Amino acid sequence: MRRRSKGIYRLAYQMLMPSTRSRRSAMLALAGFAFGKRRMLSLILPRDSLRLDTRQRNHIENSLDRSMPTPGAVQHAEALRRQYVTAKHRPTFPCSTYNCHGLTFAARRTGISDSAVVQKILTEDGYEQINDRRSLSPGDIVLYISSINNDIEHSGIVVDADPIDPLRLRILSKWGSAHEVIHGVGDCPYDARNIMFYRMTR
Amino acid sequence: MKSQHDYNYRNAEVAFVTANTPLFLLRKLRSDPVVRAMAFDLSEDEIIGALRSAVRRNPTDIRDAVLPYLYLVALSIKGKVVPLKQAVDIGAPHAEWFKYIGNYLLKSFTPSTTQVVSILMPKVLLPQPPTPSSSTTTVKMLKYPKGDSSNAL
Repeated sequence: MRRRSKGIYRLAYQMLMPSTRSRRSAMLALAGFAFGKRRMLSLILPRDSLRLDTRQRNHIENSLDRSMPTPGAVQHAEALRRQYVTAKHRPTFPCSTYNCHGLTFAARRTGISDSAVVQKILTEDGYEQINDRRSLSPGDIVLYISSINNDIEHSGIVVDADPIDPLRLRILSKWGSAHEVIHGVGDCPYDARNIMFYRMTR
Repeated sequence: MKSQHDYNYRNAEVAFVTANTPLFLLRKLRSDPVVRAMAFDLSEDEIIGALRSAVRRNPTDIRDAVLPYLYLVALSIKGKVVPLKQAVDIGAPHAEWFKYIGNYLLKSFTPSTTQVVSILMPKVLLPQPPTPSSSTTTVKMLKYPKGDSSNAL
């Protein structure tokens, strides 16, 4: 028993090593200690996907990236906190586990990066477009659509809306592999010239 | 020849961090002056060589992660389909969106050429001070009515 726990400490130490290969093999071995080999693979693979369906039971293509953020990515995320001063940067760490569409449509479980998949979710889950901005309310979702290639490059959830003052609109979203942010509709690194609002009513 | 260390990758790295979709990353890289400079400075073979060495290693920092995309977009800016196809075929096992972006670039490829055209500087004409000879003033002599000599010189 004592010998086994020593082995675990050694593997935990290896996980802190800069070499990704040794870190990954250590993670796999540690999982082997805890769960046995069959369950281990589904839990620890650095890149994976979840079984996720729309309401019409069609698969939602997704990518679950468990890799740790690189030091440079953390630095740039910190720079975003300093750059967007009027936004409220939530105390979440940079991660690639989920992205904005993963936050909006998959409850932070995984990443969705294909616009066609987002379009499929909107259709098959029964989202309705909102044309009158004055009727927006918290819980509605916003899509940022690129005017160059029609890519749905960002999405978020409306967390504050005022029918009298449309400038009070606040969005909760995740900025790529950086952290979650509550921001004004145009106060973000995405093209806000073409935005659309949707609501799920039932 | 410029080496990859001579470029500032900050914009590309920020685009990579904030990218939710591969097409966002592509849009940002295409408009990045550094990627354009790279496409201008390096030959197709040099870019493909750099790409081969970039995709071989597992990225340990953000620069390593963004470099394969950068080279791919630089190649697409060069406007030749054969090297672009060659680059897509290399593949990048550590870059998740590499294949998607590569195929998108191939699908939306329009051949283009870059030509440097030298033109002569236009002659600059400085305004000259007015000289009596260039005066365009016309003098009209008016006759006074008969009998009125009050204003006569």
